[in-house]
Amino acid sequence: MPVHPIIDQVGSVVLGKERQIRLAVACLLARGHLLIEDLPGVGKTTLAHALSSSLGLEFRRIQFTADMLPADVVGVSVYDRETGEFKFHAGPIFANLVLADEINRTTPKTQSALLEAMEEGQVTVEGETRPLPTPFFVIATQNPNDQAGTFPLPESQLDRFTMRIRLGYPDRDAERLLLSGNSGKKSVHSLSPCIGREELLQLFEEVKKIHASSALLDYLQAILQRSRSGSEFINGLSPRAGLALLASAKAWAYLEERSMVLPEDIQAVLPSVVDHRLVSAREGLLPSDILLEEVGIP
Amino acid sequence: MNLLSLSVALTLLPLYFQLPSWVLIACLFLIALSFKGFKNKWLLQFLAVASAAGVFLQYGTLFSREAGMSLLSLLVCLKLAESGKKRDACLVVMLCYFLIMTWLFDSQSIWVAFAMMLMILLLTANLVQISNLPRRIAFLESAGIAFRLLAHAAPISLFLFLLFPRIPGPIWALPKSSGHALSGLSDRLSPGSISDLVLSDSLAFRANFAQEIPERSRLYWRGPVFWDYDGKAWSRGKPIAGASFHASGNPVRYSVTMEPSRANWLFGLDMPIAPPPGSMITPDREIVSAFPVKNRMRYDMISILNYEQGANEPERNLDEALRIPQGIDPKARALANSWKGETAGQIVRHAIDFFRSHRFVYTLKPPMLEQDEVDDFLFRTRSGFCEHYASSFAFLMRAAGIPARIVTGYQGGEINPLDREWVVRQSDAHAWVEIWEEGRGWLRVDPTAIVAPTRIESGLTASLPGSSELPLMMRRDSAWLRRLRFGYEAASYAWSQWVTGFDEEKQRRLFDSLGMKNATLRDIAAVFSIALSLFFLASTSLLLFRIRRKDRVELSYLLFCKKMAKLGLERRVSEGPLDYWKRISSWNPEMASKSASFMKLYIELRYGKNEKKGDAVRLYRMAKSLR
Repeated sequence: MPVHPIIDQVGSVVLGKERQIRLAVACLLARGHLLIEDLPGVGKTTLAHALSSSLGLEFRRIQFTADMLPADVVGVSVYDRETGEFKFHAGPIFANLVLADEINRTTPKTQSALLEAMEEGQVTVEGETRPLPTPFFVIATQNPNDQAGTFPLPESQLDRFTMRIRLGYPDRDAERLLLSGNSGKKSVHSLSPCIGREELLQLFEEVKKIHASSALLDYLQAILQRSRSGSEFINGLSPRAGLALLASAKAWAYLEERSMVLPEDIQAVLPSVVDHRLVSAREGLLPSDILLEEVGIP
Repeated sequence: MNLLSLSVALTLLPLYFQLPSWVLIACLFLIALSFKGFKNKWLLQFLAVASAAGVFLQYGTLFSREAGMSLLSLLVCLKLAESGKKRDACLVVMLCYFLIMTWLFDSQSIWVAFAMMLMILLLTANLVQISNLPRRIAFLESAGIAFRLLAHAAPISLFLFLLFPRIPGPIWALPKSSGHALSGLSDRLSPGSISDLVLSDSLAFRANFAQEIPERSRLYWRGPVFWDYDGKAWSRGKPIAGASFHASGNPVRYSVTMEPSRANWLFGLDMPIAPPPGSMITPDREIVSAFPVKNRMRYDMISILNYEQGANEPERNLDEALRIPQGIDPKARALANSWKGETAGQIVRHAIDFFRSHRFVYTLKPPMLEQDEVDDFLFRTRSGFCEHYASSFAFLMRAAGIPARIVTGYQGGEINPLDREWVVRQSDAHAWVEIWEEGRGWLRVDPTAIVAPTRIESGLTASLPGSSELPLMMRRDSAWLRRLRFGYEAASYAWSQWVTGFDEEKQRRLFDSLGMKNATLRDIAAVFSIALSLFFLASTSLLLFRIRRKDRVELSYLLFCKKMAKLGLERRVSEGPLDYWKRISSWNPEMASKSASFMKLYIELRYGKNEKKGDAVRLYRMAKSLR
């Protein structure tokens, strides 16, 4: 299986976070965009960087700041004195994998330039539509606690991220390894690609072919229905969320080396897929907890 | 729970007239308690025993109709007060279904049926809510589901209604405990007795003519005949048989549907030829039923409008038709004496001229008559209703030596434009006179027709001077009210004809029209049970087929989960098969290894793509053999 080397290699850089790495890989296999949300210094950027290096894709990083303009993301046309024409200078978004660091630091205007590119796979600059390369992924990071001077993404924008994962602190053993300095932890820059672009595209096709039976779709629809009918949630899950959930579950099943999706696959990806889309009106409970607990498997 | 309490209260409400008041008060008290929830077991048991004792004291038994109803009502309310569980609530609803059937004891009208249907809808909505517990669903939603369920049940109940074998005889005609006063003609006639009656707007009977309806002025519906006059009131005589009857002309065929009157009179057009079954025709040609008319009844009649009756009337009867009390009404007697010796025709003409030449008034509210009522009416008040005219006319005839008797009944009627039925109401009640003439027999003379010809031609409403004397519904000007009443009467008639009156006879006719001539009760029962079993066979095989195709895999899994639950490893609602199996293996590795192949196949069948023939059956066998 060509994906396991990726997981292993990323795991050698980000210690003790195998589950999050698997989720992140599943998200990419589902051709979805990933949002990593956590405190500074837990390895968000490292994870994103390691993923892109292992996948062997063209990688750009955009460090968002409050004074950035949309043109800094998508590019700008500059007058060329020699030819007497305007020449388009592609922005950092023209890459296979874009790391959007601290996305909540920039203004909504710039955020939406990025988010529209995520949705449509193309950007429109000065009236001209330019396609982005395929595959095209965005891995965004944001820091939830540091709210001063940030522009939090509204739910409608969050819906465009297939998954949101949190890294959290490393556990005791992983941290000890890290501190002792002999963990064998490699530098991100020393990583070499485990997979080629063609191979990656083929992987996508295989993931797509994973079978989802009608019994499974029943369960999935029950989850969607529950999120829409209950009073616990302010809004229900969108159809896009349903598609994201199915695609992620397929990718997870693929990682589990199965040819069909099981309810367990849905449950495995459910927290990362729905928690950033739903707002729970019940104190102290994550939306996914409610859905996992209350929706029965038929 | 509150909806259920409300439903029970509504179920008991129409029993207000049938149950003793203490039962109702106790029921309401228990229903009120049920809102709070009521858990004291001992008190409940005490109350149950106390209710049974109370009912026994009231009726002296627990098994009569009223006693049973009272006891059942009390027990339903006790159950309601006690229950908090699903099963109890279901039981209460089921008992309420049963209780609303007792509504029919009081009345079987279309309104009751309508109310029962609404109640069934409400109760079924209750069931829907109960079966969805602990999830609460809105009332409207549950009512919608209940409506759909009942709509599905409607064809089945129609089928049962039409085909269920009818037992001959009045299965529904449960005797009532106490009689209600019903209005109708009585067996005495005195001033005011008919003018009181015509104020009632209720139906007397309906007639359905096979051919053309005769002219209105010829529609004299014959009822009780009066011979004896005591100076105040007329009562029936005891005429002896022997009078001849000849009729010529076309017979008029019609059927009459009598409303309950609690009297034995049946009515037919002058003159009825033959009595309907279960009745007889008296010598003065009244139709008398063997039993009082307690329920709506229908009979077929033939009458002939041109007839000659009683040309050879026995002497004794004629003597009776001449008798008047001695010493009263001298003025009227003197007037009649002055006509004596002339022919009957001339005497009648004299009397008619007398009524014509003086200003007589036709009114529902005549002034009170003093001593010598006939004199007082003929020479002083000169205003009265048909019984005044008939009575004084008959008196004059008798005083002048002509045998006379009074016939009461109904005159006219009207057509219901909606169902083309001829309708005769109490307000059409009438009294007229028959005089006897040598060689010609009894002849009808209607003195009211002289004074108020419109009464005979167009009915009561047109003949009274102002409409103010009549009740609201009978007035000419309230056309929409009349139309409403016609609509209601047509619906209620159709109801009684086709629903409560759908008896063995009508069922037989239905079978005849379906091509099964002369079907016996046994044939009907056979057809019924064959159709019923075919229906159940079809529906169950459809269900089984569906289960076979779709849900065998699911059933196997349910069986598996059940077996595991017995071992203490119940599946959690949101637990997937793989997680479940992992949990099983951590608890009971032996079972896990036994069930591994089952689980693998189950996952393959339920969530996988490829299904081989026979796999589902294999899976089911595996689940069954698992120990």
